[in-house]
Amino acid sequence: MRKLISIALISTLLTGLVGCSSGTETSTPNEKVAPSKGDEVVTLKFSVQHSAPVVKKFEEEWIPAFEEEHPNIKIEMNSDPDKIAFYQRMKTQFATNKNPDLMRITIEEFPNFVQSNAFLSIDEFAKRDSAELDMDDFAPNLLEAFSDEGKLYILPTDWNSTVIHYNTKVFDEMGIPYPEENWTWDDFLETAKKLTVDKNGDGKIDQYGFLVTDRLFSAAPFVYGAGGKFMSDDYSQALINSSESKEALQFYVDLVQKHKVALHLPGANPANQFDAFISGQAAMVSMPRASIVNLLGKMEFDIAHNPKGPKGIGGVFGIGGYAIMSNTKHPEEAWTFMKWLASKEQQTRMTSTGASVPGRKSVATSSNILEYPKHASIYYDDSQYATLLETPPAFSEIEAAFNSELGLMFEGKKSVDEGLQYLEGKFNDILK
Amino acid sequence: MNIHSAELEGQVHVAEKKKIRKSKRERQEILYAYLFLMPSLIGFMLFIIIPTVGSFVLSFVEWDLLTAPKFVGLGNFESLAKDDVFATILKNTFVFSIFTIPIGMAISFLIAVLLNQGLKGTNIYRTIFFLPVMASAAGSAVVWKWIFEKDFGLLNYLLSFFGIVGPGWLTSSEWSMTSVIIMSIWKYIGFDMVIFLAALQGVPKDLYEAAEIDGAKAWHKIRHITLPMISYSTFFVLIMAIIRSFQIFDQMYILTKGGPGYSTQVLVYYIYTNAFEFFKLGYASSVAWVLFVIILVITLIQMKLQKKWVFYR
Repeated sequence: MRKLISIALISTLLTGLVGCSSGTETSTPNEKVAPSKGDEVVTLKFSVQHSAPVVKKFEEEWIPAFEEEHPNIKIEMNSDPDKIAFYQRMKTQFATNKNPDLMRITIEEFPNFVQSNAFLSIDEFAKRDSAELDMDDFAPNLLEAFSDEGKLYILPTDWNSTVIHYNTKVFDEMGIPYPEENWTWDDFLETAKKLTVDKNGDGKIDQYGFLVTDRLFSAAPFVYGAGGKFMSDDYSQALINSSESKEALQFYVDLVQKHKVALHLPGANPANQFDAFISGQAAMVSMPRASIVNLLGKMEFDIAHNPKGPKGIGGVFGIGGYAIMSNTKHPEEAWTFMKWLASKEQQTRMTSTGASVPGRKSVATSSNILEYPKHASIYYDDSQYATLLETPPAFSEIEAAFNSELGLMFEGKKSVDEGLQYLEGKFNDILK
Repeated sequence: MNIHSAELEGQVHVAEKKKIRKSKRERQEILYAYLFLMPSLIGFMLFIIIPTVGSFVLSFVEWDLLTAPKFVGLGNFESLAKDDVFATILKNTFVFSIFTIPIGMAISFLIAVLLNQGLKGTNIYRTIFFLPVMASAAGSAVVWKWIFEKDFGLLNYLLSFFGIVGPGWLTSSEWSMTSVIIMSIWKYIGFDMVIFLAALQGVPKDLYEAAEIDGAKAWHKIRHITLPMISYSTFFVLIMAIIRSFQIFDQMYILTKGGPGYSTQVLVYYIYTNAFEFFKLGYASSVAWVLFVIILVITLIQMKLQKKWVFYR
């Protein structure tokens, strides 16, 4: 009996050990593959955070297409549906040197990674392959966004700015004219007032003119339109408590507090936002092109520029791409893949899923992106008005603080003055 | 005296000898015991001990995972003391606990007493009340989100029958904490109820019979027999409830994301956002250790106080 037990135990322990060791081996395949020479097949690990339909396209169509074109490169992709979990995983993997060769990156996290030397600069590669790349096809401010200390790190594949989306059916039914090219904050407010109605007379508003969320991203176009800024250019000091920002946020908060023409969705769950827009609970909403995948086929809509503030049209944009990690063993192959991801063909495929605005002008002005909605050209046009999201390394903390304060202002728990004063102190603390 | 001690020594000697004679077999048994314990011991080391030590070390450094950790001494704790958001969060955590624990315990005790009456279908009711414990917090929070919805939620629909226009349960900072408390009480009464029920079933029937003969009313029986007789399980439930409510997280994460404003931000939520959204791992670890100290102090006080009201049979 005792023998039996010991045999059982030993075999369990052994299988456990074997299991462990094989686990560690599979997690670092890179180290086993010698630096590539000629026709040897190289495996690149590639981590992304995209919505499920995009991930599916990557797995079933795009990556197989790439591998067919480049038989010496195999792509091993894995994906996270959740942004927070994704960056958590990437940072942990980088800290333990188990990171992939390429990863998805958006502007919010770019400074953190680049300042930790996690990314490989692509300057040399880009110079060498400039003819093939056609760098002029990328808007200069997009390239600048992914540069640090004069070095370029990423070819921008996609970007987004928030513009006004409106429900054309509601406008038609109520006989309200569509937003004009050069509409101002006042025009915007008037339109929103007209659109706000209590349909069945029960004292509850059934249709709001606009929809607001507690998000920095949705408030920023107003701040920039008034000539305000969140912080200084070197991210050392808060500039949020200025008369310009105050004017902007007062206007924004008054939409809910004073005029009651905007539906306030606290917490900013995007799913609620789309429901409210599709169901006609809110007739206008500020969102990026990346969101229209949730609307297509469910409603009729068109887009307009953000209304003009005291200092012109304000806008804010974020940007995304795929970065080569500095510790990759296959920079040449990784560069080939990055080039392919930023190629016209791939950006066309990506954009056709209803995702973000492509980084390449030639793709953004191609017929398939201009097909719907009617004024789709506004999406790319907005790049001339939009300011790059101000992203210091501690951006997530800045954003969380701002979102919470904005929520309190919408609720009337704090005046705009009090909120901004608090934020100024908080921002300075965080930026220190 | 001397003889006596010599005798004793002899005995000890014999005992030692016996021990030695046994020891080979015993040693083997101990070896097996450790072998069998190994999987859980390894797990305990890997997932409890090492992370605990790690977080203690981390609470003295600044680290964002990407750059090298920087030693800051007590810096994290100093900034905690100055952090006004942290003060709000401590307050929120205490408010949550002060309402959830007594109300939850009272309701679960009441249900346990009712279920202990030996009525038909007790098993079914017991299962029903226990279901929320088994349901995943994430899944049930989604349902509660719908119940609490301002415009088409079930709760406000029911209130409208009484002519009450319900608030935005999750979307106004006055009511958001109340909503989370309601859901948390619902979630955990089943667990506490089962423990109370088990204790109630262990109270000897003859005590009640004796009391009845003495003319005791139902309330007197509860007050003077039931409560003292189950006080040891009340103590257990209380300790568990305190730990649980200081570590509350899931409900806030899914229902409110800590908002609106800071109204439902609690300690563990703050640890989570600092560690995995802001990547301030050192700061988050220092919050974790503050939480540990709070729970430790409360539990020690409870252990001291228990002598006054807990009876063990």
